[in-house]
Amino acid sequence: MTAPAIVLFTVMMLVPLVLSGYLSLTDWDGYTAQPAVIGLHNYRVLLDDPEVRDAAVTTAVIAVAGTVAINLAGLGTALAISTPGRLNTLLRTVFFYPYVISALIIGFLWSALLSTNGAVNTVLEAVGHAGLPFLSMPGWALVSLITVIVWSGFGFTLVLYIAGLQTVPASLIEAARIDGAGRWRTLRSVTLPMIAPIVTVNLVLTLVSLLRTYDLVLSLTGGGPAGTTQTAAYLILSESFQNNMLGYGSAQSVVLTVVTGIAALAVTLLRRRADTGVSA
Amino acid sequence: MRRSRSSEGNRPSRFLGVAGATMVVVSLVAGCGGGGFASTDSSDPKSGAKGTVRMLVNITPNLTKSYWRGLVAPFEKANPGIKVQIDAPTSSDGGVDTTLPQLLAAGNPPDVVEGSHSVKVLPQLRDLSDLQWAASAPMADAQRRDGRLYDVSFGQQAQSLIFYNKTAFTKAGITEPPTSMQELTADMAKLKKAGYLPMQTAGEWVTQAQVMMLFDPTLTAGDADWFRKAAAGKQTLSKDLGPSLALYKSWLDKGYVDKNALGVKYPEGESEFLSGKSALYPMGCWFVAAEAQAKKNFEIGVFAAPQLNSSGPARLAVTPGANYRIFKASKHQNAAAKLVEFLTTDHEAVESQLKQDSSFRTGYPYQLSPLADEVQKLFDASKDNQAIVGSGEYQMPAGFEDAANKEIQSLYTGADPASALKNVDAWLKAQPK
Repeated sequence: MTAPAIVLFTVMMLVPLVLSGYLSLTDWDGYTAQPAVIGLHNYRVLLDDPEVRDAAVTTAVIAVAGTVAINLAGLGTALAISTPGRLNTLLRTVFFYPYVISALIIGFLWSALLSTNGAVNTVLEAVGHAGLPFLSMPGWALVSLITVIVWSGFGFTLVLYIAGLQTVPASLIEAARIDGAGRWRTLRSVTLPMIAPIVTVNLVLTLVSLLRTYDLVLSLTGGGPAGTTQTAAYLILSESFQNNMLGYGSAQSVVLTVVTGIAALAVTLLRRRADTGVSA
Repeated sequence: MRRSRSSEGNRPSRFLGVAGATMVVVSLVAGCGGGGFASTDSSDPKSGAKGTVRMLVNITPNLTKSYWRGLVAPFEKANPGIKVQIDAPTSSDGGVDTTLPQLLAAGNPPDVVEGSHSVKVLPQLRDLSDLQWAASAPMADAQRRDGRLYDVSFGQQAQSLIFYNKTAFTKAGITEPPTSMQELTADMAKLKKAGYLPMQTAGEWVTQAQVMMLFDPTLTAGDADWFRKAAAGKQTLSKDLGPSLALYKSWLDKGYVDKNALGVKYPEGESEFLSGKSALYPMGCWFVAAEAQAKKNFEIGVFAAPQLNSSGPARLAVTPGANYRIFKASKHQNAAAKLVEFLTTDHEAVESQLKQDSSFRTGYPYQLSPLADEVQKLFDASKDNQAIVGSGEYQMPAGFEDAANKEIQSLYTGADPASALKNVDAWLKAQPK
């Protein structure tokens, strides 16, 4: 029964991973039949590449800020609308909806809203305010990008948090209230420990997905202004297919894969320690 | 419209599908197809040409598959032994140059490719130097690499054009288009005073492309081979583009160019100009197609980008409109050559492509709009005074546009022209020669 899964995993995941590893040791440009093996040269180059460094910093900022914001928004909203009711059901659908839309479409949509002559600035100017440089200044563009990422991504965590909150026994909440615990105390000492596994899953999934941010960058900022919102994934695609440096792009992919794995593992371990601390 | 080329080569293309990237890499490691000449066809008594010619082409909103089929239909009719199969790009970004590696890796190259500018594929292309019609195609000499001719074009793109709002000029009291950068700067001051944004630009690829369009004539005025030398690492932008970029920065500081332009997308910038909010729009000749379709209540004119230190005759930066290439591995060499000959010499086929692509060629005028006629006049007048860009050995290394774009955009975020150009030079120096 597991054979098809193993075959699928091998063909779709393992083989590409191994081949990417091999390509990262070559100077392949995508055209030559026999790329030359150049050892760790690509890795040495990327360590000194300022573009890689900038993209890594941008990716880290997006991943950390985005993960925190998405989970805070998801959890906060889940707490607000977790009780059954017609309005809450509608709100859950509304909040989840952006998650199912293609990130490319979301990017184009928001760029129409936030561009220099976009809808938001048009409204601002109509009421006598100067327009804001949402996409034209580096700091603003990064904040705009993260905001759109949060808007489009928190619906997924919301659904998981709602599912988690529904597993918390009402009797426990009741007991805490009877013991005199306020809302905050109940959340901290009862609700959060009970949904800790969901928190871990959400953190890991969000972090891993944000470390690979690409399509929103492409459609919202195009990596600009002046390359300041270029993420690691965006750079990999650019180096590989625009600049015909597939060997170098593969080396960057390998590094990104390793970093993503380490980050996911670190979050899981930290959460486990935190959970252990709580239960102790 | 085809993907137009900026002064160094292709306009930066969009590339999509991060999820597919790994799989693309995997698909590419299969052995590359290549090889030498296959046996030529010989069963057509007239030309020795027959068979099905596969042609990989750009597919765009106006270069549709049905357009291409219609274009080659007369050729098929005149050559009953030859069928033309139109292949669309299959890569995630819909680009010819990103599709080619996949086809080559699969050992399945097309016979003919249109719109490819990749130098990586040159070893697999047929040298067309021995074909008289290819050697006399537009810009054939400029297309050569190491004396070999791989690219045949049906027309040319004029790039260093500045389109202008005639009403804005009248309101600002400007009676004649400027003939020097000093005059242009003075005119922009008048246009700003008249309530217009003097010069329309945008983010994305436009920022860098416009700067090059504006200053290509200046760069090449003293040395027609400037781009060839720069591509070979023998010229620096710091030295030769420095004063021009300093002037551009002064326009930015004075508000002649919107300091928030990096938040404007290419189509938006075009719309802003066509809506009459801005007075000047540096762009390639492909803009005439958009202008012809736009509803507006003012007239648009055009002049050649003037030079920095001279009021001499207009000098136009030109590049081949779109190239056709034939693969060595094609089993239908004669048929492929016959097809490319038809596409680049047949009057009706050439005119159709020129019109569809908003490209130009002396001796092949076509009816589109008064603005297109103006461009044609400028183009014809500059015949002996053209700057060659983005073609053959005049093409900058892959990635140059991106690298230059980041640095030129950095002027908008506080960098100074000298350090921006120094960074581009450093990038150029690091490229393999």
